This record gives sequence, structure tokens and C-alpha cells, in this order.
Amino acid sequence: MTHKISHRPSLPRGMRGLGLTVLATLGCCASLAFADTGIGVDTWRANPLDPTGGMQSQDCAIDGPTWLSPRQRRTPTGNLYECPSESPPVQEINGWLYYGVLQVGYVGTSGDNNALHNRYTDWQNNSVILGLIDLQLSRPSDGSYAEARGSYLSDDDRYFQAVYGKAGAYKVQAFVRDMPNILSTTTKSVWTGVGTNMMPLRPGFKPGNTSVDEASDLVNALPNTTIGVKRNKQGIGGSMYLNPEWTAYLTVSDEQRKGERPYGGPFASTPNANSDMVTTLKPINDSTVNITGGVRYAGPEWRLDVSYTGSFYRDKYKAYYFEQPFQGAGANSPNPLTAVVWGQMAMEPDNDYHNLQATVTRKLPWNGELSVSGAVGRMSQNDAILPPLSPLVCPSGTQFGPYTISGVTNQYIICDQWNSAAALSRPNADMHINTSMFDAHIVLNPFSNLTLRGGVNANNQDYRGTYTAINPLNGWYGYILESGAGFNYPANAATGAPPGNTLAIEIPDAAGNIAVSGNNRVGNIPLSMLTVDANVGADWRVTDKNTLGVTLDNIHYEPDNREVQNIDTSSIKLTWINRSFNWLTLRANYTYAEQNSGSSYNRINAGAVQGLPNYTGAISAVPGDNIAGVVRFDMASYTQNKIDLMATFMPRDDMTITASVRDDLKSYRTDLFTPQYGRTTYETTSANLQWEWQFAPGSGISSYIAWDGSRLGLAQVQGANGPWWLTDAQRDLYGGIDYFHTFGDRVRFDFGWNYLYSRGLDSYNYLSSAAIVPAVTPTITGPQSLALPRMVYSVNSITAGVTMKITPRVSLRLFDTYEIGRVRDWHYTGLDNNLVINQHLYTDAGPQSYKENLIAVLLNIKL
Amino acid sequence: MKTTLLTNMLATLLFVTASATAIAEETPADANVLPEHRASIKAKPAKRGWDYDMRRITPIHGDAAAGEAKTTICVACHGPKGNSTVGLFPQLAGQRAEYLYGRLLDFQDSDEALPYYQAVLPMPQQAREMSDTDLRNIAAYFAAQVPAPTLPPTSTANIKQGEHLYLHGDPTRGIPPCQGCHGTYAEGGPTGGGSQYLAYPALHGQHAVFIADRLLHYREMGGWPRFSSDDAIMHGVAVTLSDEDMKAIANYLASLEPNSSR
Repeated sequence: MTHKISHRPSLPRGMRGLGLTVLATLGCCASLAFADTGIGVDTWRANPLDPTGGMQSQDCAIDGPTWLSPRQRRTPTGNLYECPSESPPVQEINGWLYYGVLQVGYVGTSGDNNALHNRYTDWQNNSVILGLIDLQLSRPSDGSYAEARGSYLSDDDRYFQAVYGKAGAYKVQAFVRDMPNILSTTTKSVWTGVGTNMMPLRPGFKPGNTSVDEASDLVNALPNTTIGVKRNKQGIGGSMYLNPEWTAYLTVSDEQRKGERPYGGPFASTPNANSDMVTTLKPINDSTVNITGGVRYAGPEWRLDVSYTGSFYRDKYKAYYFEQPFQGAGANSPNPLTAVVWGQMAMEPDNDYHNLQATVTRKLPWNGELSVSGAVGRMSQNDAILPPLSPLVCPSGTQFGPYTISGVTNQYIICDQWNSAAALSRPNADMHINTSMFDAHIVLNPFSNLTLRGGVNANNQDYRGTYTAINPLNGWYGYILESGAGFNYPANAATGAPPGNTLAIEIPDAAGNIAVSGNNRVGNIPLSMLTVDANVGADWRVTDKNTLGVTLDNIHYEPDNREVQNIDTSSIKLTWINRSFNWLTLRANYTYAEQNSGSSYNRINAGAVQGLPNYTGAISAVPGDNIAGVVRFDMASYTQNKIDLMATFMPRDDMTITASVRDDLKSYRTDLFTPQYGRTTYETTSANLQWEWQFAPGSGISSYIAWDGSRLGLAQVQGANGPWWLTDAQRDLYGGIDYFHTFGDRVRFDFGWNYLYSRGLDSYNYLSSAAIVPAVTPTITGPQSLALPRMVYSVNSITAGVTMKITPRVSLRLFDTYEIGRVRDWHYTGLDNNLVINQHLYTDAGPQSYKENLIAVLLNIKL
Repeated sequence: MKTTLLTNMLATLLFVTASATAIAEETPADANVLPEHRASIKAKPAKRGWDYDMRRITPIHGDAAAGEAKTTICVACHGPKGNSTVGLFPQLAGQRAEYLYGRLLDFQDSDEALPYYQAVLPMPQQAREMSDTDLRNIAAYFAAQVPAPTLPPTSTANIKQGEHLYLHGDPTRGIPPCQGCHGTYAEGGPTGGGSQYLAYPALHGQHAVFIADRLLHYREMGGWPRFSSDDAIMHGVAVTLSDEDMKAIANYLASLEPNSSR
């Protein structure tokens, strides 16, 4: 960590205040459009070279934060504020005050420049960069102001924004931002056309007929390539005071993403020579347009905010296609007319999101306030549905089979019945999710030492659109998994697993019923849900030094698509804040909660054939007791105890020591089901110790050490060979030192060391080894335990820098960062040597350890 | 040779030491070695022309009797025992010693090339005749005197307006209430708080002409070098005041009994 300055240059405060208020508002309102997870991200334009957007290069104001007190200022909880920024050397020309900074420099890198280290940056070795250009102008005579700020690290990592406005009148802002997202630097792609939706195999591969040895030789000879996604975003927006009480605002932004990422593919999990598994490279080529606009009223008694948010996602591709290298399942079809050489993966559908929200706030007696909000919204998707099979996968005039389906022998997949829109129940998705929200909360201060608060929030998500896969051409239900890539696989002699197929098809009998027992999914999963949260609380300042608080909360949750239909979570939280000593602030929180989801559950999975009205087969026996039913355990009944203890010591005016301990234990109600199964406990614990000493303006030292861990226990997860128990343990350790010192008025030295160690361990207990590793013979009985290798991620980095003032306006900064990252993940074992294992193809060997050094020289000029 | 070299080195060292001692003795004692309390408020380093950080001032103690002996010239303008009868010359009796000491430092260090120097003549000349000990003693002497009301307000028409501004300020115009620093009864900064409040002067019973003049100075000082951090505070306050505001506040304060409370 380097020394950071928290304040912007102090141009006339009235102008700055409006800008920050509007920016914050834009960011707030933009975040309502949760259909696009990118909204709210990067509303602050900066980059890894300077995450503060120029503030960290500003001088520390050695006069301190206020002329009224010589002491360091502290937050209400007792932490020291950082040194405020020195007022910039403002100059005047023709009535305009201006201030500017230009920072140019050189960056050099060496080491393992891999994706794990450089995921969101694009450090180019031996490159000249524009670290920062920042111009700020203001005209006090009429309150006009303008700002331009930008940075360029590379063509893929740069930003620029411009603002113009008039205090108390209007503000207009525009920006462009390019950001890289590097996903892998060691990808070996067996395809050409990566980044598009058509990826044929490279020359040398035989589609559908490449042997494992041939594939290994070809893949190992390929060069490493870098894959990733580039995000380019542009936006423009503004706000205007219609009068002192009414404000209107509007912003529009468009973000394009382009590139490719590792993705799944055919997944025939039976480990034998004739099943294939291929990881693919999915093309990314989409855009999202976001619009936010509204009006706001702020009066002495009332406040009103009415806003509209829209988000429109468009993907260039509806699906992407790739040739498969191996003799896949198609080759094992008893009567193949052609091998299955093409695979298909669907892309995200185009999505339109609209949301209209209104909030009314009114002041109340007793220094109170009541705020009521309501919102309605709709998300819509209406793309053309992809046929169950692509003509590439299942060409017209061909067929696969015979198979036994729904107990009926000698059935064929006739391609002409599956490879067009005629095989669909309807041609378009016609899907909507209607959302509605109501929120009300109230705060009252009937006495100066008593605050009462309460609120209720209801969120409803109504899933409008049901699709059942019925093929009009043959009357069959369901769809073909993996688009045919796993049509058929033979028996597994090693495990004794019978032959099977990935045809999730149900054939009705002559009466139109689905009589044969099964549990295939034949329709979409409704995502309707209702959440209601109600809470009341009070804060009581018992004495000048002690404050007590209590909060009662109840959350009612109704998910339509889950195994449990009603979940209620009730909690009580107690808070105590103590400031009996000037040098100590104590805070303690305790929460007790209970979640109740009952002991009965929906045995029919959403969208499964067993939910159809014409299903006459047997309901699956206790599906929740097997591995597939594990999903319910996040909704199980439990009691929870959570405690937080925090202490802030102030041994000197310029020193702070902060210590905290937290523990959160959930004990699940395993007595509700027989035999016991599911989560038994989930506990997270953390401890933190920080020390900070700001011994002089512009100088200070701080250090920290922290630990956190979690432990999840699962009991009696029934497999085919008896019960077993799982324990998942995660542990993280952090530490660091940060030091900066200003020598005289010209030289500042900074140093930082940070360390992170993260470890994950999964271990098992079982009564029979057959439950865990069926292939191991002979079977070992009796209580046993087994642990997978630890997964470890650690980062050790050290940074040292010096900043020298050459003249009052010119300074030079030199810094070096050395970082070591270590990754150990057993999932990728063996891939370093070969990306082809049997008929399983991987695109890269996973995250890699690295050592990297970055050195930079930056010239800072105050214009 | 060695003996001669060693002798020469010792002689040189002795000469330098003696010279330094002589120079130190010839120069007023505080020129090179600042007294502890002055050192505590000397800005490190001096910034933008203001030299003293009054936030760190320590309580001023002095010999009032010795100070009285030095006030012969002072009372010519400021009246017997510091009770002035001329509106432009402030009341000194009963004033905070820390404030008086700070003002005397201001006069002593003021730059002759600046208009401010001309505006406060002959105070700089008077102060430069004093040692730091003299300044403390003088401050202690006047602080110990009993103030007496000498001059009425220049007008009574705006006293109510001045009272409102002094006690409540005007948030719509960004005027802070003066009592926040100078006390509800204009008795000066709180004595039980931080040391910086010691230098916030008492204003009750002060001459209206003087107060208005000081407020005008703070408002118009603009780019003038500021002596201390307190000047920076007062400039920020004074720029919010109109000429009428200044007169109203001044008349209100002049209407108060020195050492009064309500």
C-alpha cells in the first residue's frame, strides 16, 4: 500500500460539491439496473498505476486538516484521517482559474507476465506512458468550471473524461474508457477462428477421428497465445437545476466487450477411452447500452426522486460452433451415418431491462424522516430459440441410433426431426421477468439520546414464460443434452457402469402419458421469488460514553423454483459502543438468528418431467438425499450466533491501534431428516490487528496482520455406495507494512510490503472406500478419512519508491514493485505436461505461479 | 610540525568558539535560540508568509511587575493600565496574555516592505525594542489588569443585529457565530479545552472602532502575508461579512460590560 491522499484539489468548494453530488447520484441510480453487472463498475475513472485518479500524487498539506486544531483529525470511530491535499498552485487567465498536472513516464517489466498477475492491466514492457493529464478550470465570476482528465498505459488500457458545468445550473460529462481483462497467456488453441462463432480445427487434426497420441503431439507443438476480453465503454450525461428545488439528470453509456474466454464443451464424465470432454474458447462480442434519467425535488419538507433505468444487452452471436477432435460418442453409435464432428454452445440471449422507481421522503416531527419507495420493472428476452440440434451436428438425411428411450427399443434420432425450428414448441423465447419493489423506512429522534428506526422492504420477481420442450414433429418430450456431443457411450468395464446416452428424451405412450419413471428436465425453471424484509430497532445513548442498540429483523423468502417454498429468517442484533476513555473506542455486536424452512420439501425438481400433468411414472425416491439434492442445503433450517468485537486505541494523538475479532457459527438442524444429511455446521472466524502512526505531516508508518477462516461440514451425503461426510476448510492470512516519509520539502520515500496466503482443504470421512473412490479395489470398510491436496494461493509483493521535487512545479518519481505469486491447485495436475489426457482436451494448464518486476519512472509537471 | 599543526587547530577552534559566543551575546537572546514557547508555534517550515502556528501555543507566563515597568510608552496610546480612551487603540486590560503575546510577535516580525507594516505603525518599532521576555512580561501585566468600560458603541441602532450575528451567525450567507470561538459572553476561547483556544481574544467591552477596523483588515488582507494560523481563520470569517455586519458586531461587543456574563 502506498500513501494515499483522500482529498481533491480545493478549487472553490461550491463548484466541487455539485459535481460530486451529481456523480454520486449517477453512480447510485445506475446501480439500480442490476440486469447488467457492469453498471457501477468503473464510474470512477482510474487505472492500476494510480487507482486514485491523480490524488495520490498530490502533496500533503503539512498545515494539517484544519486551522482550528493542531491535532490529527479522527473519524467518529477513532481512526486517523489521512493527510489532506495541499491546495494546488492555481493561476489565472482572463478570469479563469486553472490548475493542471501532466505525468509522463516509462514502464519496464520483467518476469512471468502471466494472466494471474496482469488480469486487469496491460503493462507493456519498455513503454512510454501518459500516467495522467488533469486540467481543472473554474471561473468564480459566474461559477463555471471545466475538467479534463485522462491516462494512457496502452491501446487497451486508457481512459479520458471531460466535464463542463456551472455551479447551481448544470453539468455535462463525457468519458471513454478501455480496459483489458486477460484470462490466459498460456492457451494452446486447437481451433482457427477463435473470437468468432465458427471454429474449425487446425490443419493436422482429423475432425471426429483424431487419436489421443495424435492430438497430444499436435497440441504440444502449438505456441502459447494470450486470450482475454477487451472492454470499451463510452458515456455521456448531464444534470441541470431546473430551479433551486428541481433537478433533472440523464446519462447514456455503451460498453462493448470483445474477445474470447475459456468455456465448457462436451462433457462425457465416464472416464473411458470412448468418452470425450472438450473445453472450448467462447467468443465474446456484445454490447450493453445503459440509460438512466429522472427528476429530483428537494424542498424544506419533502424530497422526491423519480427515475427510469434501462439496460439493453445485444450479443452478436446466438451460438458458436466448434469441430471436435476425438472419436466422440457418435462414433460409438451402433449405426452412425456420420461421426459427430461439430459441437454447438448457445450464447447469452439479447435482453431488455426497464425499471421505473419513485421515492418520496418527508421530514417528521421528533427530528424524524419517512421515506417510501416503489419500483416496477421488466426484463424481456425474445430471441429465436435454437433448434435442439444444429444441422452441423446432425445433418439432414442422417440419423443416430438405435437407442432405447423410455423403455422403447430401436429408436433413432432422425436429424430432420431435430435440426430446425420446426422441432420447437414455439419459435421465440417470449420470456419476461416482471419485478416490483416496495420499501419504506422511518427514523425518529423523540429524545436527543434515543433514535427509533424501522423499515419494510418487499421484492417480487414474477417469472412470465413457460416453455416445455415438446417436439411437434414426433411428439417426444425433452431435448438432447450437449447438442449431441455425448450421444452414446458404452459400458465401463472398470467401474461396471452400464452403457448410456445423453438423450434427455421422454417418449409418451399411446395414451399420451409419460409412464416410464424418469427425472429428465423437459422445461425451463421458473425464477419467481418473493422476499419480504421487516425490521425495527433503536439506539439509546445511555450515558455520554455508552450507546446501546437493538435491531429485530425478519426475512421471509418464497422461491418458486426451489425444493423449499417458504424460508423465514429471524434475528436480533445487540450493539454496544463505549467511549469511556478518550483514548479508546469499544464496539461489540452480537446477533442471534434462526432460519426455518420446515421438514418437508418439494420432491419434484422444477422443470422436470415428473411435474408434467401427463406423467404417470413413479416420483423419484427421496431425491434430496442424494448428491443431486445437495442444493437444498443452503436453505436448511439453522440457528446462528455471530459476535463482533472491535477496539480502537489512541495511545497518542498521531497513533492508532485497531483490533477486531469476529465469529459466525451456523448450526444446522440435522435432526429434521432421517438419516441426517446436509450441512451440519458452517463457521467463519476472523481476527485483525492494525497499527498506524502518522508521526509528521506527510510521513507515517502502518502495519497489519489478519487471519480469517471458514469451515463447512456436510453430513451423510448419500452416494451409490453408502454415506460419507465432507469438510471444507478455508484459511487466509494477510500481513503488510507501509511506510512513507517526507524529508524536508523535496524528497518523499515510500515503501510497502504486502503478503497474502490463502489455503483451501477438502477432506472426507467414510464408512466404505467405495463411497469415495469406487474404482479402488479391494473396497476398504470401516471408518476412514481422505483429504485432497491443499489448494494454495499466495502473493508476496514489495514496492519501494522515491519522489523528488526538482523545482516547485516539477517532480520525479521512481518506483519498483516486485511480486511473487504462487498457485497450487490439484484440479490442474498434469496439465503442465500435456493438455490432452485420454480424450479430454484442455485449453491451458490453469493459473500459473509467477515472479514479476515492474519499474517505472514518472515525470510530474504542474502546468 | 605536528605540534604546530595541532596548536593551530586548537587555536582556530578556540577562536571560533569564542567568536560564536561573542556573537551570541551581542545579539538579543532570542534571535538564534527561540524560547520554548515560541519554538512550539514557529511553523515548520514557514509557509506562504505566515510564520506562527497558533494552534500549538503554550500558556504564556511572565513577570507582571517587570512588564509594567516596560509599559510606559504603551499607556500613552492604550491608556492607564491598558484601559484605552481612543477608539482605534484597543483595550488591553484583562486581555488574554497568549493573544497579546501573539500580537506583539506579529508587530516584531512584520515586513517593512508591506502595506501592513505601515498600517500598524508605530507598533513594529515599539515591539522591536523588546526582548521575548519583555513581550511575555508585558502580556502578563495587561492580562492581570481589570478592564473598565471607557467608550460607548458608535451606534445603538444595530446592536440587536450585531447580537444575532455574534450568537447565531447567518447560515444563509455562510457567517459563522462568533461565540463558537470567542465565547458566549465574548470572554475569549474556552480555557478548559485545547491550548489553541488560549489565543482567541476576549472581545467584550472592546472598542467598536477597533473591532470594525480589525475585521476590515482581516477581510481585505487577501494576499498579504498572514502572520499566523489565526489570521487564516479570521480571513475566512471576515470575507463573509459586509461593512454593515462588521459595524453591527462591533457595536454589540462594545455594548458588553468587560468581564460581563448573562
